Amino acid sequence: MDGAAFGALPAARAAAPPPLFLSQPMSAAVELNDQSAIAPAVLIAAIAERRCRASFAALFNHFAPKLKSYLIKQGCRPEQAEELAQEALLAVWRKADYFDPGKAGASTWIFTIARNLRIDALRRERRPDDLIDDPLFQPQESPSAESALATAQGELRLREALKTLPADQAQVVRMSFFSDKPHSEISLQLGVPLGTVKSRLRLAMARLRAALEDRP
Amino acid sequence: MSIHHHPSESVLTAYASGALADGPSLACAIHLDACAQCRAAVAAMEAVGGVLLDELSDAPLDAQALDLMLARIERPPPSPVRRRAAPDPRAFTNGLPRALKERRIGPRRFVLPGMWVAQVRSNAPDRWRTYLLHAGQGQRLLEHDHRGPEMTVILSGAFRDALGVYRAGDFVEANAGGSHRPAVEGDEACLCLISAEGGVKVEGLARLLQPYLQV
Repeated sequence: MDGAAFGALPAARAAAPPPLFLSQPMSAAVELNDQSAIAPAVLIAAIAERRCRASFAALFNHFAPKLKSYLIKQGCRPEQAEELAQEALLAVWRKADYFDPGKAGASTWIFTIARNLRIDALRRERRPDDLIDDPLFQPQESPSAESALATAQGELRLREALKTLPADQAQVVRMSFFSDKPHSEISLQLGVPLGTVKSRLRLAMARLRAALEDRP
Repeated sequence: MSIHHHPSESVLTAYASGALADGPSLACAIHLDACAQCRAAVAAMEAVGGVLLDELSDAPLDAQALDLMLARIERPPPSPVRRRAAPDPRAFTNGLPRALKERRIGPRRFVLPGMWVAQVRSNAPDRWRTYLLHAGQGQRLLEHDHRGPEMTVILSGAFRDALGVYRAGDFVEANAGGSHRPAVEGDEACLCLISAEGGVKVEGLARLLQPYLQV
């Protein structure tokens, strides 16, 4: 590896080194209640660098129940949802070094892994091991600390912007991501015209994207 | 490459959230390969997906879930198996975009010299029919209508219909009830990928060709 790769540590690693207890035996870390306070990107970095099982357990405890919840909302049966959540986290374990915090936040990366696994499960075409072909897992250039920080800050702004969206727009955004229904069905379910669904989505996305990219 | 026609917000969101059907997803992926603007839009939508995932309430896991997971990561990953279907020697594969490389493409079925369609096999059993359409310089397509939405991405060359000119990378959405007869524009042949829900409705005598073309 060349010097540049060492010099360009992602901000998450450079700015906040993983707390010491992460290198202790797993049981000690797993029992700690504040594990969720550790940024997921830091946990993924610890997995990539040291195959840190305690970090993985913390990541699993945070994301597996949410992924299961997401997959159930998408129409998976609970046991299938749990299996896919496990598959997604297995991919995180195996491919942690492909995670590029300068390109996407940890929850975004994990969301896209689970989304693709669900699509594959539906289509029964590719097997999970073929994930290696997935563009999500193509080798990354070393991100700069600034770009990782910028990504993390963008997601924070996005989180805030979601809270301040008008309720009808936020509802359409959530339904678009979680109900696995085409917009025509969302329009029927909400009892508003299709054009209204589309324009709410467009307005919402414009605001969210402006927040993500820090534009007015 | 300058691209003037993009998927709608609604199509991009469905793509980012994983709700788009297989054929339209393929058309969208081909457009994204060529369009940085839409790639940025999809990346923003995926970030929304990540934040929404993080906000979800937890679904209870099996009591042994963590132990099972920790045992699973100790097992060596299976060596990746390449399952590549033997290429159909009749299939057209020259210069296809990346997203199409992994797809099985059926034999070309000629309508006229220079004009052919080839089915792109779907990864999902649904109502969408997806195919490549090639037309030579100056050729006009058959007059046809759509039974449902249709999404087209131009791979090379250009075509024109009553609404405009579409060039390589452009993405066109059409809806049921829009009978049209596009024509190849400029001095080269045009190749595009079309995905139509419910297939197309060819008008006139040419509809006799439809079972043969499988569109």
